[in-house]
Formats: sequence, structure tokens, C-alpha cells
Amino acid sequence: MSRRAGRRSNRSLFAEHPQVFVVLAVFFTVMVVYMAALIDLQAVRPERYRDLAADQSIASRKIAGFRGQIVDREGYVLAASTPTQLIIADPQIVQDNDPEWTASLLAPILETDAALIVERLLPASDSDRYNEVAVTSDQDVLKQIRALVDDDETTKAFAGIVIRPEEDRLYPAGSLARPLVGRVDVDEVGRSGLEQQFDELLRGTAGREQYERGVFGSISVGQRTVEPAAKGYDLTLTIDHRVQYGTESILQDTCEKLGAAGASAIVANPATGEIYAMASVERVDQTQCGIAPYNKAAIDTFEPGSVMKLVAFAAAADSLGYTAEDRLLVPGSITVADKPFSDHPRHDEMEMTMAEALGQSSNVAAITLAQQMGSDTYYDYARQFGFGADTGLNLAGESAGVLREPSEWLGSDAGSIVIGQGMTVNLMQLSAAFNTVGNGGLYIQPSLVKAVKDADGGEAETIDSPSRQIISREAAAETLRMLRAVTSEGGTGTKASIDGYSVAGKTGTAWKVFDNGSGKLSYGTENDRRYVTTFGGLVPAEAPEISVVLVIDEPRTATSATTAAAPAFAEIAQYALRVLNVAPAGPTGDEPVWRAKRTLIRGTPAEATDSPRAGEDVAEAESIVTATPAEGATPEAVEPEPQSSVDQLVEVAPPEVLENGGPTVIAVDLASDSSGGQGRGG
Amino acid sequence: MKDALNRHPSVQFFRQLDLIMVGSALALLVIGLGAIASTTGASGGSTGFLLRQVVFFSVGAVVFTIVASTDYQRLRTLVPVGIGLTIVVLLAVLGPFGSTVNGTRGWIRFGPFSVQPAEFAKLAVIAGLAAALSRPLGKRFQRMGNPAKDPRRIMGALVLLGVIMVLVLAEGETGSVLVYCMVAMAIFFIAEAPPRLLGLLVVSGMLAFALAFSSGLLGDHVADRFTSFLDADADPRGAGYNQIQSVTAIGSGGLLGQGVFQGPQTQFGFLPEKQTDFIFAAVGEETGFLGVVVVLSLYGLLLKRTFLVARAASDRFGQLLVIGVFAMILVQVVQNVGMTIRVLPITGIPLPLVSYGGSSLLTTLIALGLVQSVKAHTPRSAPGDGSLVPPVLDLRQSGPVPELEPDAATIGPQ
Repeated sequence: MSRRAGRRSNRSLFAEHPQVFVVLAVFFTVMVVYMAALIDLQAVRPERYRDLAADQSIASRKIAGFRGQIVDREGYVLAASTPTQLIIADPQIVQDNDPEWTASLLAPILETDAALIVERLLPASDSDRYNEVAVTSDQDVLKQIRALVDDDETTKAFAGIVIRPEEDRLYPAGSLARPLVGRVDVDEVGRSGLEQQFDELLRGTAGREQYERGVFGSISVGQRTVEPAAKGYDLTLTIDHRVQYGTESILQDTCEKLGAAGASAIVANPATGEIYAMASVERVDQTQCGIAPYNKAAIDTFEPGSVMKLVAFAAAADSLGYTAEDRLLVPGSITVADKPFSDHPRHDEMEMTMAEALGQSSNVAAITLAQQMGSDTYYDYARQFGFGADTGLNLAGESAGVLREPSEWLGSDAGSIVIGQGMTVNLMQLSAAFNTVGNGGLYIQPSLVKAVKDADGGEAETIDSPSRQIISREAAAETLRMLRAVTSEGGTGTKASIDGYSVAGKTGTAWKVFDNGSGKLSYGTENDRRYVTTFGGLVPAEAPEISVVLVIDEPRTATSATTAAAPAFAEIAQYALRVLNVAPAGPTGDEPVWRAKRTLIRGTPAEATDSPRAGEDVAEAESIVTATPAEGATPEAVEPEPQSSVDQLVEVAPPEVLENGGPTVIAVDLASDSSGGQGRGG
Repeated sequence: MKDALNRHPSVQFFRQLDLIMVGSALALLVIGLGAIASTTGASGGSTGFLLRQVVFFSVGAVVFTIVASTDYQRLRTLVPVGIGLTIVVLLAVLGPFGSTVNGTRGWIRFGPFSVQPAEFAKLAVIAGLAAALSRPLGKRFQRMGNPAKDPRRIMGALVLLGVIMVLVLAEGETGSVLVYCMVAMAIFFIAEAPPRLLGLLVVSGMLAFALAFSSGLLGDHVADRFTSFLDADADPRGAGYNQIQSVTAIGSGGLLGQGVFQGPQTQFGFLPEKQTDFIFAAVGEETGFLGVVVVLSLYGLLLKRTFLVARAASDRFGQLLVIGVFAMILVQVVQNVGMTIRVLPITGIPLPLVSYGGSSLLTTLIALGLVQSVKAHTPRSAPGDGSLVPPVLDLRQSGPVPELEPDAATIGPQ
């Protein structure tokens, strides 16, 4: 009964109040809206809010993965990383609290003046949100700060202050080899030099620690995931810091003394291609030169000038079989595509040996030799020596220089390229070329990195230096002998000679292309000429153990390689020989063989085949090969005849004659008008 | 013996207890305790909030029992005293006894506890309006017309409402005032006040709010809450922060939640007012859609049972009391949940039974006690014999309404 009564009263409410249905309708509408909103929030796309939540609640801390070291061949550290902690303030937050208090807590720990800290805690502007307060690698300092942060009493003073682990790249050797080693940016990413080139190997894998954090900072109960950091590989360079140091200081002195714009040098081991020193200096002000900001030795290219004649003579020794004692009849000038080339100092037609021609840096002889072997052959040799191509070192910013194919040669290129103008090289290419001559004609790719080691000292990557035989051992030996003439009496590089050692080298003086204010690049005029002087050499000449190449950019007080580059070579080489403990290879001071056998004889190609046998007077016996190309003919066109003649001549030359000192004489008689010739080579 | 036992008041009390209503309220309270434990770091050893809430709950349980076992008609005589006391306390809060929390001056401190009179004033509004708009007991009132149509009684009710509203507004408790308004509307509506009066009240209420809002009388924070509700991203670290964090918390809960004690929004302090006004967001984040549906279903059950009591009530005063409580809980749930899911702007209204807070919990438990009292003191006898059946209700005979049938377990035949 009571249930019925209840029902009746239930009914009554609705009967009496039909509006209740309106209320219920509103209620259900609200329900539907709310459920829809909740489904939208939680069921449809919960990830988007999870991401939002994670964004603000999950923080990650970088665990520095230490960058590997760069050390020299002796283990001397050139670059290394050390852990530091960066204390950063968000001034917008700090200023709301009590910066003086914060500073007073930090000052005794950091051992600085509180006022200085306050300055760094306060914002410079309204948008200022990042001030670096201090950098420290002192773990004690850190512990003390952490203790204050964790202390309930003082924790409020550290709102808005963050301690971030960093690593600091240190270069303990200071500026030593810096252009080569390069630098890293604030994020420890290699930006130049070896730091950039080997960034991937050097760079450690940074670890990450992800942790949940609340509004007030880290919360220890939160989840933590740690990806451990891995240390990068260590690089062991072929550099010897002592040689590097000596080279740098000598270059610096030279640069200052000569009023030069800059200078670079490379000291290497011809047998292995390993680079002992690679130095670059640059003028900083009127009186001083300093370590260059970049690796000029690899990056800068220049017209090498006469030092390039090394290629023509080495190629002639290899392809034409010429020896140092073989004689050339060198005219006063030679014309290539209407452009006359003559020697410096000028001379009438004269006879000289190959060695003398190189020693006196004869333009005419070099061009003639190139013409004899043909431009294509010459080009092939130049490419084989590494010119116009990357050295394979892959140094950051390395430039290959320009050496065009003969088909692209214009005008007098066939002449000027041979004497090192109209083409560019970098210093490493020159170094490799000299190394090849010093290494029995075997070209070895230069190397800077001796080993890549992992954190445990194991070899992580093997460094191989490809090699190729470019000229025969005999040709290389002959070329070396020719190069000795340069530093001997009458040569252009006598100032490169070193007491107690024999030096094989080559000078190079080139006009520099520049803009003299006319807006166009040119070699300038007699009055404002700028020079690039080079010297490349091998010591000891008998069995080279080091090679030194150097270039001096725009020397002012002495403008030729003879006076500018050669003395610097001697200084550097002397220093390196001493440091590397290189003994003189043989008896010194003795007269080179080629000088003693000097003869002057004239002949014709036809006579050459009937040349006298052994025992005849040397002066009468030898014949002279005369190459007589038609005027204006391309160098290629004149090739076959002299080539074949030379071959015949060399073939028929009796060994006895050579043995008893009777050299072959090759006369070059170019029927050209050489009167107005002006060679540019040094 | 058995009869005597059955007639014992305590047995009577438990027999008449609406177990579903009490059960759902208890379930919400337990969920609330869990949420408070999670949001206040009880697992980390900081149990202060949790213990205090347990104390409030224990006190509330006692008060609930007292109120539920007292005849609501007898309580009616206490209504004027209660209203007077409320007004005095509200004035006292504005005076030297008040203390300010979160920009509102609505607290009186008693040692470690502080009381929020605006919460208890909800009861005064419900009881006051219910009494004003229903006929008193007694033969001499039998011939009286519906008081809800009597202009003097209506004026009296409006004055009472106005005075309390002004005092509470002066404290800065805009949220409570909103609850009073909605509760009053429900009571007027069920009391069959003239529809024109209801319309007038709605319109004037809106006008008053618009005026107060535009004149800045409500204070900057109310304006901020409205503008940030319309465009929370305009100031994500300022006015929009709370709602963005709340929505992020609920949204990241997904279907099953991040796990109790494991929601990053809740645990790491991103969620504001997490144990009070935004506790629903904490529940949403840690227990997900599932937990949210459970909580809302429990409120649905609680409200349904309350509504059934209102329908079954044998007199207008009891009916209005229960409707007032129904409206109070409904409005608070709708508003609180609405603001956490960014369907409504932010107001400082707690989630009944779940939010941390003694005043709110006690108020809700007293209100539920009133509902239980009305239920227990509604005669179950057949119509015709009941002198208590109010004449205004036309108890027309009709067929059963199965979907609204009261639970047999609690209202079974005796």
C-alpha cells in the first residue's frame, strides 16, 4: 500500500509540474554537452594533451659526451674537452625574488663580489631571460650550490637559476697549430680546421637524462630515463708540436721582417707523406704578424711561379730520360702564341745543363722541355704530381687550385703554366710534389692524422695514404740532383743552403693578381707589383728525410724567393732537422757532379746519330739536337721531331761517355724572335 | 521483543536510510579522499590534508546522522534562528574576524581550521526559501493559499536572498552567489511561483550581473576569468593558465588515466587548486574517462535519489528543501566540472563531497541529512488517511511509473 502511495505522489509532481520536463531536458542537454566535451578531451585525441603535459613536465638534461682529444704525434695535447657547469639566471624570475640575497649566497662560493653577481642577476631589458652568471668546472663549487638549492631555507633564492652541464673545449697549446686544428662553436660543434673535418669522429654522443619536473623544478620521485653519453674518438696527428712551434715562429718573424701580408709553410716526411708542421701566419698590424685565423696552407691558392718548373724538369727526366748533366742550348727567349718568354737575368743563346737550367730557373728551358714532351704529356705529369686536384686530406675549406686541361689552354698558357703562372696551387700540393721527388718518384697522399683512437686507446679507424709511382726512381734521383743546383753557387736559392746539409730545392717568385684600384684584377704595373714567393726543398738532398715548402704572400722589403723565401726555408729546415734529429746524409761541401762535367758543344740532330764513340774528344763527340719549330706553331706540333731525336740521341749515347763524364748535350735552337721577351717567372 | 527492537529509533533510522543515496555519497567521499591523497602528496608522506578531510568527514557523518534522524518539520522552527545566525556570521567575516584566502575575504579562522560561512549560507538560503514559500504546519494554515503566489512572502524570500547575496558578494565569493541564485530559481520554480516572476528574476539577475561585471564591481579577477574563458590562449601563463592546465590534465588522462599518483599535471604542480576547485581534473588525469564517468554516474545516482525524495515528499516544505539541496549539488557539479573541461568559465566552486574543504563537506552532508530526514519522515500510508499530505498536491491516481519506481529495498512494505 505504501508503495502505491509513493507512486501516486511521484506521479503528482509531474502532473502538477509539467515544467519539470523542461528542467530534465536542460539537465540531459548539459549531460550530453559534458559527455561530448569529455569524450573529445579524453577519448578522441588524448595524445595531444599528453604531449602538452609532457612538454611541460618532462625536461631533459644533456649529459655531455666528451669530445675526443687532438694530440700531436708525441701525445702532446692540442685540443681537449673538460666538463664545466654553466650557471644561468632567468632575470625575469630572479628579480621578483631577492637578487641581493641570491648574490650574497653565491658570492662566497664563487669567490666574487656580490655586487657583480647582482648585476648579472638583473635583467638588461624586459625581454632579457638569459644571463650567464658563472662558468665553473670546480665540483666543490657545484656541490655547495646544490646544497643551497636543496636546502628549504635557501631554495627560494634559487628560483630562476639553472645549472647546466657543459663541456669546454680547451686548447692547452694556445695558438699553436690553431689554424690547422680549427675551433668549435658554443655548442661544441667543429666549425673549422680538423675540428670540423673530423667532427663526427671527435664528437661524443651526448647522453640524455629525461626527468619529470614540476612547476618548482626537478622532482626526484619522477621517472628518469638515462641514455649514457659516449666519448668521442681521439685524433693523433702526424704533427710534431716542436716542429710546428718552430715553423710558426720562424714564419712569424719572416712575415714581420719582410713586411709580408702572410705566410704559410708545411714540413713533411717525404717517405711517408706525414706532415710534421703546417703553419699559417698573417699580418695583424703594421709591425706584427700573428697566427692566421684559418689554415691558409690548405685553403689559400696562389700562382706558384718558378717552383712549378720542378714538374717540367722531373717530367723531362722521366719521359725524356734527361739527366742533370744533359746539356741544353738555351736561346735568349722563346715565343709561345706571340708571347715571348725570356730568362732572368737575360742572356743570349747559351748552353746549360739541365741542373743549371733549373738552378738558374730558366723559363726558356722549362718551356722548351714541356714542348718537347708535348703539352698533353706535361699536363699528365702535372696532374700526377697532384696539381689541380684535392690532396685527399679533405681539410675543411681545402681548395684544389686550378690546372686546366691543354684543350682549354688559351694564348700563351702552354708557356706560362709551365713556369707557374696562369694556374694555381695550394701549399699542400707543392709539399706532396716535393715529397714525390724526395721519395723516389712515389707519390704518397699527404697525411695529417696518424691514428684515430677510441676511448680505450684502440685503433678505431685506419688511416691509409694511397700512393702511386709517378716518375721512375732514376728520374727522381736525377731531379733531386738538378734541384741541388738551385742552392749551389750560381743557383737562385743559395740562401736556402744549410751548414752541414745538402739541400735540394726550388725557388718561386710570381706576380700576384690583385685589384690595384681599377676594379679589375691584374698583375699590376712595375710600380705596384705584388709578389708571391715560394720555396720548396728537401733535406738532406742525398736521401731526403724532410721536405719544407713555404709561401710568403706579398713580401715588401725583399720581393724574390731568392731573398725572401729561401732564407726562411733554411731557418725552418734547420730547426726541423735539429728537432727531428736528422743527421747529414753524406759528405758535405763536395762539388756536385754535374758542375764538373760541364761542356759546351753545338751540333745538329742529323749529326747526333753519327755521334762519336767512346774515347773521342768529348767536345767533338757530342752533338747538338736542334729543334726548329715553325714560328707560331703550337707546342704540340713541334713535338715529334725533337722527341724522336732525343730518344735516338739518348739511346746511342755510349755508357762510357757518360761514365767518363761525357754528357749528352741537347741544343735547343728555336728560331724565334725573342728580343722583346719578358718572362714573368723568377 | 522483535517488535520492540524494530521500533528502536536507531533501527528505524537505518531501515529508512536511503542506502543508494548514502552509498553513492560515500563512494564520492572515498574517491575524494583518494584524490586528495594523490593531489596533496600523501604517498610522499604529507598527509595533513588527507587527515583533516577525514576529520571533517567524521564530524560530517555525526551531523548527518543527527539531522537525518530529526524530523525536518521540527527543524523548520529553527530556520529563523539559522538565518539570523548566518547573517551575523557573514557580517562578522566582513568585520574583524575575517581572513582573506585567494583574494576572497570569506574565512573565519578557528585554530588550525578555517570556516567558510558562505558555504553554510547555502543551507540558510535553501531552508529560508523553502520555509517562506511553503505553508507552515498547523490547522490554522490549512486554508492558506500557495505562499509562492503571495507577494509579501515572495518579497520576504527575495529580501532574505538579497541580503545573503550582497554579504557574500562583498566577501568576493561570486561562485557561491551563483549557487544561491540557481538554488533560489529551482525552489521558486517547484514552489509554483508565477511564471512572470520567474522570468523577471532571470532577466533582472542577468542585468544585475551584466551591470556589476561592466562596472567592475565584481573585481578584475572575474572579468579576467570570463575573457580567459573565451580565449584562454591569449594569456596562457596568466588568466588562462588554470583552464589550460586543467584541460591538459583531463585530456592527458585518456580512456584509462595516467594511473593514481602518477599524473604529471597533478603530481608536479601544474594543475592549480588541485585538491579543491580543480580536483575533478586530477581525477580525470589519473583515472581517465573511466574514472570520470564513474564519478559523474555517482552524482547522477545521488541526484536521482534526491529527486525521488522530492517527488515523494508529503508536504511542500520538505519538497522544497530537497529540491534546494538537489539544485545546490547539481549546480555545483555542473559548474565545477564545466569549468575544468572549459565548457564554463572559472568560478571558485568546489566539487561537492570530493573537493578538499571542511565547510563544503559539512554543508553537503547537512544538506543530504535534510534530504534523508524528509525521506524518513514522509509517511508511507495510503492517501486519504494522511493529515500531512499537503492540499496543494493533487495526488491523482494513475498507473505505476516503472522507470521512476523507488527502490524496493529501501522503501519496502513494513
